[in-house]
Amino acid sequence: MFGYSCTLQTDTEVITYIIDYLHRRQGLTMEEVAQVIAAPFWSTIAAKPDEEKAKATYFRDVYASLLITGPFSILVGFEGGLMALNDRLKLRSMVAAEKGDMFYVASEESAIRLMEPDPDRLWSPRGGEPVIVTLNQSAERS
Amino acid sequence: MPVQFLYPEYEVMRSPDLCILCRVCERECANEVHRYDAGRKRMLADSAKCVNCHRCVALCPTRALKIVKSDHTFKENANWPRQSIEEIYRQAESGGVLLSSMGTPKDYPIYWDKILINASQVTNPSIDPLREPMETRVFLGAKPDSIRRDQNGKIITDLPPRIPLSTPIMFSAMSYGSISYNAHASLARAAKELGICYNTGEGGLHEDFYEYGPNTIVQVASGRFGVHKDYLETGAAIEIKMGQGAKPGIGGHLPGAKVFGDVSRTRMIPAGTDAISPAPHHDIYSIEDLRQLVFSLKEATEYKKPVIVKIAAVHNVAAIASGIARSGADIIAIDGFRGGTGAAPTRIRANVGIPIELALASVDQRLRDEGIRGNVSIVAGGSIHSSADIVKAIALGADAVYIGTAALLALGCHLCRSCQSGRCNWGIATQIPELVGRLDPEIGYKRLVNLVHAWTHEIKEMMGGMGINSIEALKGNRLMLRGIGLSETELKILGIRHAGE
Repeated sequence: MFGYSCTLQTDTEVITYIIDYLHRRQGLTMEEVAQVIAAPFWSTIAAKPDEEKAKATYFRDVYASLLITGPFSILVGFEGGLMALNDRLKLRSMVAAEKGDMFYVASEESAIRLMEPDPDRLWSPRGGEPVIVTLNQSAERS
Repeated sequence: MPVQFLYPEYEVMRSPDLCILCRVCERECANEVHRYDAGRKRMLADSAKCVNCHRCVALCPTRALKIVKSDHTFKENANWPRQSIEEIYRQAESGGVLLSSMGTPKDYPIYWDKILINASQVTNPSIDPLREPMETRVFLGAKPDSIRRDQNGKIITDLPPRIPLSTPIMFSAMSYGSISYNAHASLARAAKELGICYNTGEGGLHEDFYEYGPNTIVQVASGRFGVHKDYLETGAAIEIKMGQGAKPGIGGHLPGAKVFGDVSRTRMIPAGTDAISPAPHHDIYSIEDLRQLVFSLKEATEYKKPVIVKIAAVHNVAAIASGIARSGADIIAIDGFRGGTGAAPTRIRANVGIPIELALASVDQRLRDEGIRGNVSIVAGGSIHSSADIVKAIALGADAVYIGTAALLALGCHLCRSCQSGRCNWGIATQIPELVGRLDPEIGYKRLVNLVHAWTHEIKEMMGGMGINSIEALKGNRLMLRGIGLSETELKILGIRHAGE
């Protein structure tokens, strides 16, 4: 109904099209895209301040069918940055780390330690909470 | 003694050893089946009057009663079964149209029972609904095509009017008149407690039930009974009834005998007059006309209420639904041919319309193909037997379902299919005060709440098994379904693969 025809028949392909639809065609920001595809539970929404509640309720209503409930751990590259996102229950694992101006993200901490044994910061983003990193301007230009 | 062509189909069996002559059966039977023979000091029964509603069986303190199918038989004939023969006797006697109640008992395929539900194994974990949140909340109403932002870039969160439901189940339209005050009271209270909606049907809304407005769908049918501004403004949504699954193409008829007191006042018609709903709406002969009524109702309620258009599932239902989705309506309700009724001509009920499963699948697909699925929500009804049927309906594309017969069963209905007589021993399909009093809304509403809670638990179990924790993610997800024992054509219409594929 959104005008996409899947050829690979994989969930990755579907997620790619969902993000294309929401980000490029509907004009949502990447944070907003994350709020649609890994939407917070109603119980979480109920505890939010009014303005956020209204926005979260709006997304869950308008884009109800684009909520992805299965386990996923995705990296989305966009012009000038990257978004890492887990499903809202965090059924798949994902670990992120920083060292100086480097950003690391992997399924396992051990993979990051292999590349950078001593990160400044290492954390497991919560399910449904996007980690969005953007290139420094100098890097963007080069 | 006149010749009696008809032998009772069911016989009342009484165990004389168990019967204590308490005469409860006699008092409870509005059909006057039971009587006490003082001379012989025993209870007698006239099975010819029995409708097999089990009221006496359920109230007999010693379980002395049971109803059995008569083994009386015509000469065996595969071409002329007993029912066909007896219906001819009846019509030869009366010269009239045969009337029936509730959904057709005919042996048509039940597609729900030929569809199997998926579950996760290994690659996609199932979710335990007792440990993790499992969301069944849905909103019915049109969804915008695109977002709008204010000058600061904030999303404007105004939406067209909608109905929030805690679980995708609503009680379908049953009018006050066809069912009793106490039945309506039970439905209204249960809907409020459950955070869902019940539906007034076409008989207007009794003044006592205005307090349940946020959980009430008010219906506007071809007879326009009981429709006025307050009525429209009270409901959570307005439903235009174009058709009913049990009797597509024809109207309704509440006999004058049932139109008195509160029923006549609520319908806004004089006591004793037949309440006749015409077959068509006399101001609707096209989608353009329908659009005018949709917008008249919206105008009258300041665009604050979603408008539902309810149609019977008929052969070209997909094209009709496509028209409705462009008429300004917010929700389409489709009623399958097995849906119930308080009274319908037997021939219509048994021969007109199509199964809801096929209608739902083809409507959802058509609206998706045309890119207008977001214009409307779809509500499917017409013989939803269980929570599994609901899961299947949602995977076929429904946003929610209507349940009517199941709700009445929860209230005590035994499907004797004699609603048209108005002598419902269970206090549901009757206006006789002594009978109505048998249905205690206090108990009735709890039984409805129990049923919907139980079904919602089961829906959550099935969703969890599929690894889906929001019912919205199941909507239209036909890959979660497989057919069993279905032809290529049936599978194609349902848009599902065969089991094993």
